[in-house]
Amino acid sequence: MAIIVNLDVMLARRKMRAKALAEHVGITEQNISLLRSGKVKGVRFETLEKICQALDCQPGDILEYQADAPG
Amino acid sequence: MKSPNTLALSRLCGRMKLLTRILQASLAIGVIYAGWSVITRPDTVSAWLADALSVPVTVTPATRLALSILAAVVAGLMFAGLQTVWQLFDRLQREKPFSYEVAALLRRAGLLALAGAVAGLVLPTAATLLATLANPPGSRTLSIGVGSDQMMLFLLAGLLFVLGHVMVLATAINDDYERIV
Repeated sequence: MAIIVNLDVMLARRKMRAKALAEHVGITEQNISLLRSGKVKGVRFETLEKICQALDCQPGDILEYQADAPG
Repeated sequence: MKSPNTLALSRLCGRMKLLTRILQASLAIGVIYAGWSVITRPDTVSAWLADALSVPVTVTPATRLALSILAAVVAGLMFAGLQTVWQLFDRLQREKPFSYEVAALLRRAGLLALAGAVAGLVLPTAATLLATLANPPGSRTLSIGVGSDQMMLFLLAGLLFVLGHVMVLATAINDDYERIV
C-alpha cells in the first residue's frame, strides 16, 4: 500500500505503550493494533488529532506516502 | 454479557427455526404421501385433481409424470425456501443481526419467495392444461387467473428480495466503515 503508517516508530520514540495511546485516543487497543499494521481503510481526523496530541507530533510523522513500484 | 434484546431475539429465532423444521417435515410427509398415492392409487389422484381444478380431467401415465415433475419442482422450491429461512434464523441466533451472511440469506429467501410467487401464478394454468390435455376435443381447458392474493404475495416476495439486496449493500458499507478507525 502507498500509505505507510509509522505509528510503531512514534510510539517507540515517545516510549509510549499502545494501551496508553488507546486510552488517550479513546479507541480500542485492537484498533490501534490494526492501525499499526496498516490494516485499516482510513483514519478519522478526530482520531489523528488525538494521536498527534498524545504523541506530540504532526500527522506527517505518523503517515508517509511511498509510491508503489511500477509493474 | 448479552442484552435482554439479544436474548429475546435468540429465543425468537430458536422458535422460528423449530417452526421451519415442522413445516419442512410436513412438506416432506405431504410429498411422500402424494408420491405414494400417484403410484398406488391413480384414480384417487384423478379425483383430487378434478376437485382441485373444478374441471373434468383425464390422467394418463404421461400426464401423471408431467404433473409429478411440476409438483416436485414446486415442492423443491418450497423446501429450498424453508431451508434458507432456517439458515437465516440460525445465523441471526449465532451472529450479530447486521452481518453480510444474514443479508445474503435474506436476499436468497426473497429470491426463492419471488420464484415461488411466479410458480403460484403459473402452476394452476400449467396443471389445468396438463390434466385436461387428454380430454376429448372441446373439453380441454386453459385457465389463466391472477388474484389479489397472488399479486400481494408477488409484491411481498419482491419487497423481501429488494430489502435483502439493500441489506447486502448496507453491510458492505458497514464493513468498510468498521475498517476506519
